[in-house]
Amino acid sequence: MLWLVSAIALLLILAMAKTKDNILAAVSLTFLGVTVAGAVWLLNPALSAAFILIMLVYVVAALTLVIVAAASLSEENRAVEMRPVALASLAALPLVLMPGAGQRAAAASVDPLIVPLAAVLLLFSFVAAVRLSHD
Amino acid sequence: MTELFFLVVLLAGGMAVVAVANSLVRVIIGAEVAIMAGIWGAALSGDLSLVAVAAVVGVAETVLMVAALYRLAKEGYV
Repeated sequence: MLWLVSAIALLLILAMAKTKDNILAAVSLTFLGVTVAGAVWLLNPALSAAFILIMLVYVVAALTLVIVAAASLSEENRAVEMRPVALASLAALPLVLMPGAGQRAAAASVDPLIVPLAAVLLLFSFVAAVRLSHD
Repeated sequence: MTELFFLVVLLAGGMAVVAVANSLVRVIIGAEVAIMAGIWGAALSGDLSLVAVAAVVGVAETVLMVAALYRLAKEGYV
């Protein structure tokens, strides 16, 4: 089943690299987020809370990118050329040979300590973003 | 095996999207794909806390990159 998900993800990434339209690429990113979320569910049904988490994150992220892309439409429409350096990322392929960790019992609850730490991190990044874009 | 293959597809795919990008929005999209590889790696450990941390870091990273892009656009670099 995971093979199917990998193939879908590969197709979506290819579509993202080949399309010339930033908005279409951002929509593909949403679909890829849902695909990864479904893959987490397939991997371990006990982690089904992660499905909602990942899907929400990527829907929001892709919507933000759609707005930014729509706001900065400059329509150069240069053709995308497949630069050979893009293949350099295939150097990650030997990672496949790593031994898998094997299936363990899932810890399907969130450590409460994460919540304040995440809040602080998000607050920091929002403050940095506001200072960055409004000075 | 399939899990690791999926991880490499996300990592290599994200970097490839960055490498063939012709706009900064596309660079951010490629970085999002690579962050997704991080989320998948956290999910492989079977711990929901790690997945939550990876998702929160993904949000923070998106916010910072979009703000930087906005700043660059305002100064006329995009």
